[in-house]
Amino acid sequence: MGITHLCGKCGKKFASEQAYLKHVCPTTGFSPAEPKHFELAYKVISEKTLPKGKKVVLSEKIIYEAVKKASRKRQDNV
Amino acid sequence: MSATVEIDEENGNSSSPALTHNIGNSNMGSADSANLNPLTYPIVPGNNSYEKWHLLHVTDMGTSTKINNIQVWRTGALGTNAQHLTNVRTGSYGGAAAYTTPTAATSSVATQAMPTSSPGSANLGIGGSLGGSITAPGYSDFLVHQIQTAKNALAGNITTLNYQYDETT
Repeated sequence: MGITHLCGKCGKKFASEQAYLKHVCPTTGFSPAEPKHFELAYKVISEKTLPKGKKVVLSEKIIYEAVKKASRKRQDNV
Repeated sequence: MSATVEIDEENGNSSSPALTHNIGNSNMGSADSANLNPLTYPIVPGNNSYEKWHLLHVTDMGTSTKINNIQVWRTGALGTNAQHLTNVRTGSYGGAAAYTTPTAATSSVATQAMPTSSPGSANLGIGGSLGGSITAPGYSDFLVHQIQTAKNALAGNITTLNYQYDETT
């Protein structure tokens, strides 16, 4: 049996790489050969795309690390 | 226009594998599955994750003529008593690893510590060589990596896997 190709965005299965590359992904609206196919993921991770004023939720761990880092900087400056 | 590049992951038995294109993450866990949920498939301390078999896949060259010098590294610390091992290296490259069914046993392919900063030169090959290049849509060699833990390992760190390459137009 050959290799099965799956689109990581829409989950569709394809019998060949060419079939995968040619499909128009229903999730992104573009084919994998088009850069816009990847924009969705970039938008999700880019803080720049957050609307102004939107609340950013940070985990306790991230806050703790930031506080630790800031404390270290302060000590270095003393 | 620059080349279009995605990261793919191969899973399943080597006789009938599945290649998931354009994966959204590299979550490591106790299942051989792309984009897995680590809460559903956690690594029990003392065990290993399943190996990950990743490929850098150029789906379109755009106006570029060559892609080469692929460098892979992780940023962010692992939890205590965990190791991240891989097949990538800048010297004594073992050639292109042939796909085998991913295992949660100690990997015989991922035996090197994953770099935690840019390695400075290619550590993942193309066509079996660190000096190789992609000049038409195609794939890198497999990047194989695995998390190995001790019984007193602590859970829960999120880190970033970095891929860098040169693109010539």
